[in-house]
Parts: sequence; structure tokens; C-alpha cells
Amino acid sequence: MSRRVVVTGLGLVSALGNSVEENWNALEDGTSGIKPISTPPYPASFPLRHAGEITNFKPREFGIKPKSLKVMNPTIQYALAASWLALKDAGVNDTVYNPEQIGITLGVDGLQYTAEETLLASYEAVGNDMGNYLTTNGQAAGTPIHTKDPNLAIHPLWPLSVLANMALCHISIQHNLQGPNLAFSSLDVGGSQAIGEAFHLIRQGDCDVFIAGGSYGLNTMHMLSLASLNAVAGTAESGKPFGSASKGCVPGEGAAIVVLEELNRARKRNARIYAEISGYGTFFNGSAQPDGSPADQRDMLRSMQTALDDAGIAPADIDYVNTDGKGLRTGDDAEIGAVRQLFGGRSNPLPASTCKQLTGHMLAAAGAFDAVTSILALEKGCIPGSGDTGNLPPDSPIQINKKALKKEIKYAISNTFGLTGENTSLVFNRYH
Amino acid sequence: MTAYYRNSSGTEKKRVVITGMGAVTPLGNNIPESWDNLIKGVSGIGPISIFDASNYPVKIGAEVKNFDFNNGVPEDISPFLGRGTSFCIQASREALQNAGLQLDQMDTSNIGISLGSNEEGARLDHYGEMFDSKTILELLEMRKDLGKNEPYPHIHFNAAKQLGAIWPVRRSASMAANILSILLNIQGPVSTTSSACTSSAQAIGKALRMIQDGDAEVVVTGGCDSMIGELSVTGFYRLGALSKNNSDPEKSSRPFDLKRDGFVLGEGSGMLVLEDLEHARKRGAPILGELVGYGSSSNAHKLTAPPDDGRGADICMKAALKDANCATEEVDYINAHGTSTYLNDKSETAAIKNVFQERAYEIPVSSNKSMMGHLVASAASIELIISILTINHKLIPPTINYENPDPECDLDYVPNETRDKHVETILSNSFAFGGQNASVLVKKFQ
Repeated sequence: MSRRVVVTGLGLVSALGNSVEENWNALEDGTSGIKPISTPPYPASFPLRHAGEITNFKPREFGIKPKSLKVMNPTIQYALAASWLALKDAGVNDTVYNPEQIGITLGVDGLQYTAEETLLASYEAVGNDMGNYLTTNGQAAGTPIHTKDPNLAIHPLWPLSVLANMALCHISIQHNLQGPNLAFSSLDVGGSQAIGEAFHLIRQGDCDVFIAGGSYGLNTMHMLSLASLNAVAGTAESGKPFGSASKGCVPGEGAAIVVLEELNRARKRNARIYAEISGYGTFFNGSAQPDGSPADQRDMLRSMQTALDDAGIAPADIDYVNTDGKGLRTGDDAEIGAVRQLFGGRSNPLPASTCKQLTGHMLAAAGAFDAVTSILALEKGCIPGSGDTGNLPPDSPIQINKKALKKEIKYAISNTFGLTGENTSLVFNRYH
Repeated sequence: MTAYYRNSSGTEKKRVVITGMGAVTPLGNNIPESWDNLIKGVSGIGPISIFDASNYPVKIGAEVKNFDFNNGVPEDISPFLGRGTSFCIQASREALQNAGLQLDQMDTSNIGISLGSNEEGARLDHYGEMFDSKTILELLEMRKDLGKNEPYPHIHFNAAKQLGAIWPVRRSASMAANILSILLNIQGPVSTTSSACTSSAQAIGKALRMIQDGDAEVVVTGGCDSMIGELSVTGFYRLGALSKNNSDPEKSSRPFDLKRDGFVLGEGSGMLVLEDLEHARKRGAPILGELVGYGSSSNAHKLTAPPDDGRGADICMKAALKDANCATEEVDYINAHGTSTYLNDKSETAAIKNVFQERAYEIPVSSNKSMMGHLVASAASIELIISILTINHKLIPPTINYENPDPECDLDYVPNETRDKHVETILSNSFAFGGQNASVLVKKFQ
């Protein structure tokens, strides 16, 4: 009998709120957290106008010491907040389990520093020579900068705040978790890969409990880069999941963390069980971006099929799909095609939802947020709302609603199909 | 001989073997050259040439030399190639060739990639893509007003050029694995682990689990990195982690020596082909060694320093031994993390003693970072390759520059001379900033 793995704790921070409850309320109502980007100033040419930004975030509420903030970029703070919530929710800590037996897997994007930090560090590196580097398009560099000003020095610990594994290390230090760990950096599927791998590691016996998920703090430099690759949209109007003229989704930020436990251990301590995780599949589609080629659809299909096989269930068993809906025509078409191939031919379209219209594209946290949404949908017997998305084609194999719809769900599949070709699917089922 | 083994908790696991290896290192652009220099005790460390480091407090690095960057990569992909990715492509080709795998025309859905990679070290000459000088001056003015102890705010730069601003994506950690998958026609699961100095150890551990779990039959795994850039050098210098021995670069990296003063940033890539034993046998593949165990842990201590008593690092060594159902008595060489920082070498020595007790003094422990510098995300994969070569050549590479014994580091560090020794079981350690640890255990295949 292979080991079974259940979800016993959840933690969310996003543009929809800084608790699981606030997030679920917004998902039920289909309320969007996307607003004009808050930090001025912007020239007219700045391409990003809207985003799903976190507001009213108070680090202290999540056990983060104010003096630690200077080595914590937003990605680290959100990861700490969501894992704090998830561990409290699960009642898991280093006294309930041997700390050497509590593992962490986290999806975090590699690029962690802001333009300002990069510039400060480089300024410190080159000092007065910086002018030589600043001549772009033959333009002169401007006034020389005085190098000795201590206020211009970057914090000595700055390099630590930009390494991709630091969020994970902060979590391990805050909660004294010493077990196995993996930091994924696979752009927007990092969070779902982290959950899938933690599931497999528990099933294989590496240890009995993992906290797993993803975190992403909005980083304009990174976003701008994605925008120039036509992967994220600059405004709410031009970025809608399944919108026929969409240019990607608008960027978002946040963190989503789950606590996964081996079933018998969870039962022994009478843990609240949200759902069981039963399947995981991941495939890379062999092209840098979904480009409308048959490979896109093929590899989304393979990812879902692998997850279903892993769970030992048939496509007909699935009664809810959390779609990726990345708002790019090629990607959305391929996704609908793949879902049709696997789940088509039903008398009614398959109930579905997408989170990105409400939260924006949370990159490394997106897959984990999708997973938590699926878990809540199962637990509450309710298909979440998706807000004001674009229109699905008339013969669509899925049905998406603005607001939530009560419905018993037995098996849910959560799809995260990456902007740069990685695809991940997770299968969750109701636990009785 | 069976294709399965039982680990200490009685679980039956598939056996996983290494069938191909490739490397680009500061000591050579392939395995034979790198190994040859390694056992000769040659240092690959010298003055930095990638950028003008003459005004920097640290002017030395372990660079890859005479590398041919013209690697036949299609034009639509080449703008996304960083130095590390270029090394990775070369090392992967060498590994696949040694493994006898021609992937061009195959169904490769059973072949995956698990790569350890950090974001590419930032280079100032790319800045023209993103900023103009006015923006930078404005940002620096804002910074002055904030004072140095304020938390970093979300300041958005306001004169960015949007077109062609692909630099941050080019530098993102997952780019190397994605490009590798496209170039080599690998269609199975692809993932990138990014955990600083343990990145490739974690990637190799994940590859092992992918095969044991049936997610893939073959995994191309390892790491690549190139952090020798203005920002990384400045950043790690500010952390106090780098050696400042600019006057004598070849003597700068001196793990376990009393006068060690920090590590030297290196670059390169080490790639391995891991394979399900049954799959390897069926196709008559060369078997170079067996990957028998993997363990990881967190120190849960401090971001900047490991605990003096080696706690945390010992957990992952024990976990790797347990995973392989291997007794401490079997280990006959340890390829150390051995960075040449005061704190790491002291803590690692303590951790080895915690695990091996009195026997610690009998086990040779050496650090190839004395010659290659610290290859960060690719360090662990190179070290696993070296461990396998150690088994197959019956030669233990030395720790060079070991001249002044440190009372706190009192193990057998294979000082300065390569040692003839028949070894069968090797533990290779990697520990990262922040306190993430990983160990892998490799055995002679029999």
C-alpha cells in the first residue's frame, strides 16, 4: 500500500487579501484585486499600468521582525507570511514533529532584485567609473557622482536578499525546520512543481511533512522584461484570461503555501484534512513560449494525463478544472484544445475557473495559488468565481462563471502552463 | 545482481547509475583536460579578465579559458544565452556523447532535465538595455534621502526602454534548462533548482528521485554558473566571503589551511547522465558509477554563518547514508564543500566528526575548490564528477595550498599531493548561504 498524502494547512497572501478567508471571499464573489500600480511616478511611455499588488501588508503580523526587513525583499516577506499562516492553520511546528523531519519546497523566481538595488550595487562596484557604463545611444553620462557618500552604500547583506533560496532559508530559520528542502526556480510553474515534488517526496518516504508552495514579489524590472517578450499585459483591459485580443495577464504578486502530511501521521494527531493530493505531472513543451504549434497542446495534455495516471483515475472522474488562462491567444487556445481532448464529449461543459483575472499573474506563486484554490473548492463544495474574463468559444469544453457556484466536487485538476514552456498539473480529491 | 535495492526503511528503490559525464571548468573545457590538471594540482585561479577589475577590492577569479562560444545555437535562441548556459550546452553534449545517446531523432518523453542554476551574474555592459544615466542619478538621489538603514522600497525606474529589454529574462535561472531541452530535444520533465551553492546537489538529488519514482528513465542533470561579474564580486566581497589575496591568485583558495581568507568565484558547468540501471543495461550503456544516496537539510540557524558545531550539515550527510542504507564504515573518501572560508571549513570539519566519530580521522577529505575556485551552482555537479573519476582512476585529488595546519581543522585533507588509493564509496557535500545543505553518495558500480 503506497503512502497517501493530505493537505492539512493553507496560507495565502495576494492582491485579494492577506489571509485565506479574505482570498476565498474574493474568489467566491469574483472580485478582482487588480488596480492601477500604486507607486509613482511613471512617464507616459511606461508600459505597465495595472497590477495585482498586495496592500495593507503588515510584516509584524506574521512574526517578521522589523529589523530583519532590510534583508528581505517582498518575495521573502510574502513567503514568510503565507508559511506562517499555513503552519498555524495546520498546527504543525517543531514540537509536533521532529524538526529534522519537516521539509520545505518552494518555488521562487531567480531574479529577485529591483532596478534600484542593482544600480546601487553596481554604483558601489564601479564608483566614478560608472559614467563610462552609462553612455547609451552615444549620450553623455551627466554629472559625475560623488563616491564616498555612505548613504549610497548597499547593505553588506544585500547579496543574501537576492539569492533565490533565501526565502526558503528564512522560513527554515523562523520555524526551526531542518528537514529536506528544494528551491525551484522554474518561472511560473515553480510553485506547482514545489507542491508536486513535496507530494512525491512524502509518498516515497523522504519524510512525513512538507511545507510547499511559491512566492513572488512584484518586481518592475522583471515585469518590464516579460512585457517586452509579450508575456504579460500592461493594462487590465488588454490582459484577460481567454480574451481573444489579450496580451497576457497583468502581473500580480503574493504567496501560496500548503502543509502536506502523510495521511496516517495527520490522522494520528487529529489534523484537519482539507483534501488529499493524489496526482502530479510536469512536462516541458520544447519551445520557449506557446507559439500555437501542436506541441503546446500535446504537452499540456501529457502533463494532465500524467497527473491523472499518477492519481490512478480516469478523465471522467474529474469534476472541476482550475485552468491556467494566461491570456495569450496561443496559450489559451492550446489549453482549451488539450482540455477538450481529455475531458470533451460530456453532456455539460466541465466546471472551471481561473484565478488570474482576479489576482494577476503571480508567476512563481501562480501554480501554488491555483492549487490552494482547487483545494478550497473541493473542501467547500464550490466552484470559485473568475470575475470578468474574456469569452470562451461557443463550443467550449469548460464553463467559467463570474461568481462562485455551489457544487460537490470529488476530483479537481489544477493546471499551470508556463509562459516559457513548462507545464504542470496537480490532482486533488475530497478526503472523507 | 538486481535492479532494485532496499533503503534503510525497507522501501524498494530502483538503482540509478551514471552513464555519461561532461564538464567545462577553470581547469579545462572537457573532462580529460580538467581531470589531468586536477591531479597535477594545477590552480585555475588568476586575475579576472571578464571585466576590468583593476579598481575592485577583489581582482581574482577562476575563469573558464579559451572557450569557443560559437556553438551552433540558432539565432532566435542565442540572445538568451549567458556564459553559464553556453558552458552547460558544451558539458551536456560531452556527457550525452560519452553515454552514447543520440537524442535528435528519438522519442525523448522518458528523458528529463534537472538543472541547478542561479541567475546569471549581472554584467554592467548590459545596462544600456535597461536604463539611461538620468534615471540612475535620480534613483541615487532618492536613495540618499532614505538613509541607509531603511528597508528597500519598491522604487520603479521611470525611463526604462521597453523594447529589447530581455536581459532580466535572459538571466533568469530557468533559462538554461529550457534552452537545453530545446537544443537537445529532451521532452520529459524539466526543472530548475536554485539554491546558491547547493543548486546542483539538489538538482542531482531530484534527478535521482525522478528515476526512482518512474517520472523518467534518463535524466540529464548537473549545474551551470557564471557569477564572475561586477555585481557578484562586489556583493560577495561585501559579505566578507571572498579571498582578497590579489597578489598571489594561485595561493588564494586554501581550504582548511589556517591562513584561509575566503573563497574565489569560479564558473563552469558539470553535467551527468543519470539512468535507470535496467534502461542502461538494455542499451548496453557504459556504467561509470552508481548514485546510491541523497540527503538534504536546513541549518535553521543564521543566514550568514553555519553553526560552529556542524549541526545541520551532519543531518544531510546522515540522511544520504540512510537513503543508501550505507554504514559510515563504508565511506572511504569525502569530497568536501571546503570553500576556504574560515566558517565553512571549521563547521564542515565538525560536522564530519559528528557523523563519523573517531573514524573521521581515517577518511581522506579533500576540496577541489583549492584549484577550481567555487563554481557555486555547478560546484556540486563538478564534485560528483570528480568523485566518480576518483573511483575509476583510483586517485584522490589533493587540497592544494595546504601549508599551515589549523587546530580546528584536524582531519586528513590530502594535502598538496594526489594520492593513489582504491576507493569505492564517496560522500560529496554542498552547503549554501542561508543554511541549505545537500550530500550525495556515490559508489563503484558492481
